[in-house]
Amino acid sequence: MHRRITSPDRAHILLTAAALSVGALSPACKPLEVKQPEPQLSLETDARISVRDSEAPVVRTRVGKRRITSVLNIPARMEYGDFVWTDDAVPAGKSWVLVDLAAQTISVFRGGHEIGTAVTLFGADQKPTPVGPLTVLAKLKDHRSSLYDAPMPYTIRLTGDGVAIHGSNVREGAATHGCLGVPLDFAKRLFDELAVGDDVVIFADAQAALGAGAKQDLARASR
Amino acid sequence: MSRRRNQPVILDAPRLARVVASAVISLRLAPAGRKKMLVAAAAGVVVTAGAGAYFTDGATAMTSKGVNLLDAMRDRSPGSRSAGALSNKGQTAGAPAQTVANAATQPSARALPKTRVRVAPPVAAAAGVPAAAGSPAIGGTPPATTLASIPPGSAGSGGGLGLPPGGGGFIPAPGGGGGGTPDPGTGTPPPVGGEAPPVAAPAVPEPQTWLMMIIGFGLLGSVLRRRRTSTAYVSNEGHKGLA
Repeated sequence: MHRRITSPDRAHILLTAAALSVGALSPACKPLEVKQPEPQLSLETDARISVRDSEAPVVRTRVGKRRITSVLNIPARMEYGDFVWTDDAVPAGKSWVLVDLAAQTISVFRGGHEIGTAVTLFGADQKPTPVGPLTVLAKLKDHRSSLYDAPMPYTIRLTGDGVAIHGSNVREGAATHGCLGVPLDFAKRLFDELAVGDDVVIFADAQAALGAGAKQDLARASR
Repeated sequence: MSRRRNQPVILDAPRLARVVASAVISLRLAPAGRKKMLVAAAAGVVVTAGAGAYFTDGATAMTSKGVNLLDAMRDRSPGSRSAGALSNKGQTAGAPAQTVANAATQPSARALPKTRVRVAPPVAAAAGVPAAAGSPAIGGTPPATTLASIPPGSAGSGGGLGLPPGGGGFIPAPGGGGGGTPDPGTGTPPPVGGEAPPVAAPAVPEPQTWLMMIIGFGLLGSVLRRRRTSTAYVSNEGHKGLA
């Protein structure tokens, strides 16, 4: 039994096919993948621990999301005053910072790839460092604290009342009045890497915040 | 086709072609009333998928690899700071005896006392930020030396480095100040530290998502519109027996 396909029917068919095609190609029909330039790094390299975009932890910033697709493979435990910086073969991308107060570490990322990490000082119990997503407000190379009369080299200001990342003498037993103190060489590299407006996310406990979400996803996927 | 529950359905090219072909065949063979239902249903699916893509938070299922990556970051840590490290309590000049008695347990460094007290600026002079003494222009010239890459494992140690003795020399106390240059224009109180989690940012829909929602609504609109207008369908009743 045949019947002619009129023009309105043909239009409906084409529209439906187009809608289905768009829907199939949309992020709703396949796992969400953040479009990033293909890294030049090998997943098998010993210098990094890498995961695919769909497996990367997601960090929420003030304006969007950042993914951690590779971190530096540091076999030893870092001590106070230690830092690592390597950006070999890391493609260009938006720089951002993740601070984990529970681990006393600060990590710098370019795109989704970690390029540097250091042990950091942070606010004392009575002068805690604020947590949450922040933004680089200003960069001051040879700043001096007018409140405490102390040098703050390579200051990267994060809040309006003076909380910043700056070079410091990082050692055990020390704390700040809210700032994040990092080794001087690391502060210099970080100063050159970041720009005003870049994201800085401070966690009280990054593994709990990011790992809890990951484990929930694992539990849902395995049901 | 069997698959595990909660597994995403991935529409690759062959599967997509089969879906589109079956949709086209269904529309061609369906009577007029059912055709409208199918088109409306397809439009509804498109709109729902678009809305779902918009409202989901974009969280993807992390495998154990993603969790191990966080473990690698934690393994390099020197550990958590001991509780009560370097509070600002007991910094008054009238408690030297207690300081000496607790020297064995107190950390050797002391928090810097304030050298000046912030004064609320007069209302007339509230505009602008005062120039901090010695602070250069923002975004100064980066150092001329190129960044030397340090291979992982051979970390640079800053423990022995002293900070530049700018001005009267650096006081080897914990990390400089958290106050910095006061900004009288804001007058905001210092942020209260705590366990507040990062603020969740709203999801930003992809352009494909927007397009899908628009097309879906357009389909619904066209279906509703065709119901009101008179349509001329070729009736099947007069063609019985013909090839």
